[in-house]
Amino acid sequence: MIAYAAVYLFGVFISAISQVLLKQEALKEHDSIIKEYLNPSVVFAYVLFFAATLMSIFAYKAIPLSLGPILEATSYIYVVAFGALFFKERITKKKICALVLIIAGIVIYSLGV
Amino acid sequence: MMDGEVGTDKQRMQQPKKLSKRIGALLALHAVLFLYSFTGILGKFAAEYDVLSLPFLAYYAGVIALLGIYALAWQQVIKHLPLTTAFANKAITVLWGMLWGLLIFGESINAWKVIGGIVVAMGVILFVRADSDDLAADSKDDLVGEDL
Repeated sequence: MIAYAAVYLFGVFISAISQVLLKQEALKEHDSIIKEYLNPSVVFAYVLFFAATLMSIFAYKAIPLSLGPILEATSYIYVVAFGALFFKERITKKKICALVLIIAGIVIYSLGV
Repeated sequence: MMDGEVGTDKQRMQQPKKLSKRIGALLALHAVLFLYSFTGILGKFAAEYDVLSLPFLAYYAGVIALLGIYALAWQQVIKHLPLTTAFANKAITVLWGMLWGLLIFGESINAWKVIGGIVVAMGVILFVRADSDDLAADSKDDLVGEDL
């Protein structure tokens, strides 16, 4: 069960990386629309995205459906981390408080599973 | 896109949109989020079958199709709502997950789950609000894209 939950969490992480790649490409200038969609980075991002969906389905073999959206909320951790790392976004105290609340909620929820 | 978001927020403060339009946009948003919750149901059904078996592929195709429709519909809905409102309301998916789990898959609900769900939802709403404060302060950044 914990191993399956870990697979789901890893899927959320992979999905966040795919979003970073897509955003980085979206910010770049491209010669043509075809190159905007068919370049290695974007294709790899979509591969990651499909991998992430497969991981969540695999995880559902053991975890309850209701746990999905709860674990999905860890994506906000990556929004903060990757936002700061790759897009020079600020890490504010309010955001950290919100992340602590999200993680606390996940822990509380897990006690009931 | 970014300037648009902040612009929308400012506009809203200066001249509030007609209530009926706001309610319409909110209903559309929740219709989209409701649809999105079905990806979990299909995914959970897919999980009952062997990978590459026919039912698995059918359910998986359903998941991908729904995600595609969701992404397109979300893009339309956020044209009519402040992005903060749109993302904050996403917290409702926690409720749908618990409801579908209970009704379709016979999952139990107890106090831990309810409280945990509420705390996660509060965290998400707080996060989105903190992020919008940040955007208003420095309009050069954007949320890490996450419309999928």
